[in-house]
Amino acid sequence: MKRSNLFPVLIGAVIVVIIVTAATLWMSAGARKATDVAVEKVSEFYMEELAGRRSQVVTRFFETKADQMQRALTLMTPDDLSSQKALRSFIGRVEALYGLELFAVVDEDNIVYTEYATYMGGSRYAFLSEELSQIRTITTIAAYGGGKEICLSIPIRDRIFNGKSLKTCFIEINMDDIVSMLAFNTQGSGTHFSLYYENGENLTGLDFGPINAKRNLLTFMSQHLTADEAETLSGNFKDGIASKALFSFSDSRQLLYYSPIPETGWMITVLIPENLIYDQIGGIREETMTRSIVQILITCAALLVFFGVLAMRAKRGSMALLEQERKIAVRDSLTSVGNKYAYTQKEKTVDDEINSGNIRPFALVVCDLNGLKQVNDTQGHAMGDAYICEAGRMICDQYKHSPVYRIGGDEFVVFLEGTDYDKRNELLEGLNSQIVENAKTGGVVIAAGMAEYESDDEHLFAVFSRADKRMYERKRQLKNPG
Amino acid sequence: MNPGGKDVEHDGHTGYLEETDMNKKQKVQVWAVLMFFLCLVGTGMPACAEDAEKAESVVRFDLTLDSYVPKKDHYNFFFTYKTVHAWWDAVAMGLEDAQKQFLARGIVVTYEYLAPEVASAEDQKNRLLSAAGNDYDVIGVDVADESVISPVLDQLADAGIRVMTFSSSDAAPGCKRIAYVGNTHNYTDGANLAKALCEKLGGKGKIAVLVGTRGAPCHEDRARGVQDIIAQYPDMEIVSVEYDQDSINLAYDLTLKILEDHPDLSGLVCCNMSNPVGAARAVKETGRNIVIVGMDHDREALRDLRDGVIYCLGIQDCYSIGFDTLQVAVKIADDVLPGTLYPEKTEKTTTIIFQQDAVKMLELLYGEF
Repeated sequence: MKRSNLFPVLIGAVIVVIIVTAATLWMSAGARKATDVAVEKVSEFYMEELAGRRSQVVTRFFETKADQMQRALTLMTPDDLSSQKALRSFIGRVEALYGLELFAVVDEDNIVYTEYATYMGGSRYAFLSEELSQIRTITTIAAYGGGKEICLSIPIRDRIFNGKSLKTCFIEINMDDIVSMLAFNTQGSGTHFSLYYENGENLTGLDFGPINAKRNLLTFMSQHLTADEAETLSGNFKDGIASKALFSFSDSRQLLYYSPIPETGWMITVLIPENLIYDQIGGIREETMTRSIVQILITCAALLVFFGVLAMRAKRGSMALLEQERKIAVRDSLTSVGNKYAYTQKEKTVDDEINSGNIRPFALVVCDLNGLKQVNDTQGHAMGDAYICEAGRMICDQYKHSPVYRIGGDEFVVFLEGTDYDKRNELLEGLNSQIVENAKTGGVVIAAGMAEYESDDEHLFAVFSRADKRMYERKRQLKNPG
Repeated sequence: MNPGGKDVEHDGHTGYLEETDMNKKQKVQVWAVLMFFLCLVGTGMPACAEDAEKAESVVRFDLTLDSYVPKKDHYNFFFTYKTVHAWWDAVAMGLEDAQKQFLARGIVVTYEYLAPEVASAEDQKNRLLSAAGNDYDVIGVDVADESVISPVLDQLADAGIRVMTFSSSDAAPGCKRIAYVGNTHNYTDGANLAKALCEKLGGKGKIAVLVGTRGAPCHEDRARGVQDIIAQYPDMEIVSVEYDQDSINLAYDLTLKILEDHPDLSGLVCCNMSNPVGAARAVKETGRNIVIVGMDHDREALRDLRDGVIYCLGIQDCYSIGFDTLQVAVKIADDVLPGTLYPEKTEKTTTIIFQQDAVKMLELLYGEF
């Protein structure tokens, strides 16, 4: 098989490998993209879950406190409202019962009654001047002195003290209690929590990851987001809308998630480095990717082996076919000896050897059949063909070690070299004896003439001419015996 | 207080260190404040106030009770002041912390701390007379109008009731009240604000003065201090003096009217807490270039100071006033007269702060960063 015949196979193999590789890479890219989306969703879900759980804790905390206050009011008797001393005593019992730092009752003039003091609340507690919720009101107050006072109030109905209606009661809640309750201490986990007021003020007094507690979150974020993103963030804080923001800080990407805590005006915030979940889920992804790459390599290797074997087998088949064709091309289809083309090839080879001076001694025997035309004419061409075959067989039997060529309809040439050359005369005599015998019995009659290569011969044809001439001399002898 | 109202050079900031038995820590704290003020007077206010760290010494929140051992285990006081306002809420914080510290020592202190929605000397008089019928250990008052209230206090004192004054306004000289805790230098505060304004304006220009409650000693004293200083500058003129009755809205309306009536106005002196808030709102709204100097620690005013709308503010140590008021009240209730354990007038400081101090003050007072 020629080298050019392998080329399409190799091209096909390369194309298949490229297609497989490209398809796999495309699928890998798709998988990577899908993973990124999945990671983003997981991150959002993770943060939403974290924020949601803590938000519920705060909400339940306030509900519990409000329930306690409601139960406290049911315990209030007319005697408790009979004097300021009695009221203060009642308030003290409520504080002790529920472990409250401050329980206060407020009348219609915004006078605040506590266990130890009675004072004006109008300017100190802005929520007293507003329309209070019929269920509960949670207010954060920036108190003089830098502290944050969290007030939870519920309405009071049908209670009169000192001639004035009591309108509400409230408790003050320490922010530290809420902070500890929310388990913000997640040191080492990479996840940070905090509470911010709707205006961006930190409520916990604790640093929020890399963001100092003293910094206003909205101001901080405005320096790390685009103007539109910062505006959206501020709007979401103001309107109490949960969302997220991605920003860069100290050469790392941070994901901020925020979610409102109902009724408080607070935002619970969660901050994680963007690569935190990517690193965790990314490991799985990288493992999958590595597996895919190995799979690609194995597939490509298998394809190459397959195509290699296929090419080798194709090559082997082609070589055999070629050899068969070559044999067909040089063989006479009737007698199976060499044909005219084969003889021509031999002639070229010998001429080249003569020209190069590398020629070894050789001789040619030219044979011609007598009586073939008569057989064809009288017995038909089939018998004529059989006559030719018999002649060829007889020549081959005589010259067993030399190539025999049929160069015409009834003309054969034998190329003698080696031992047949050495026995050329003996062999020719044997052939002629057989022919003489055949002539008597009606068998195949062949006229044979032999000539040896001579040093002044420049071409094989010179040897052939001499042998052909002797063949014709022999043919005449056979026609005119005696 | 500076009753005469003429001694402009008197600094009026002297404490009572050698007369008290305050613990060493408190003495150190007071000395720190005193040194700051000496710096203020000696080197000029703007230069001294440049040091933002000193803002922390303007108001103290780490006071502790002195070593005095109360004679009783329960005290009941009545305090009344001019009007419901955030300034007195700050005083209340000091009262509350002192009460908690007494409670931690096993001393129960109860009190009423009440005021009318609108400042009124008559209302205050009625409250005092009503309180006199109850069995309070001490009655304290931030005098709304010394001419009205001083006789009432004398009347109560004659009846054997222990009375004291506190916060921003003392009674008239000669009043029989036992002691006073609070600002004793309102005249000087007004004078210092006026000086800062005059220096800023280069000693010339027309100015207006906003005052708080008519007749309130603290406000009137400050207004007099302002007027005396302005009188020393021949190229300066007070074109208007208005009273906002401690109302921000009224201060705003009055300022708009002043700005309209005086297109060439250069400055505004604000003598109480509501004045600078209303004035700044009006100035911002009109876009006029007016130098505003004023009193006190209102959060909005501090933001305006930070933003350059207000030039300077006089900050009083309200927390300390409230804290020491309760300490002194306990001693008065124990019939301890002014002398070695406490002075007849417990001096409290006022510090003029400027734009560079505003951020620190907002953080200190409101946790705003």
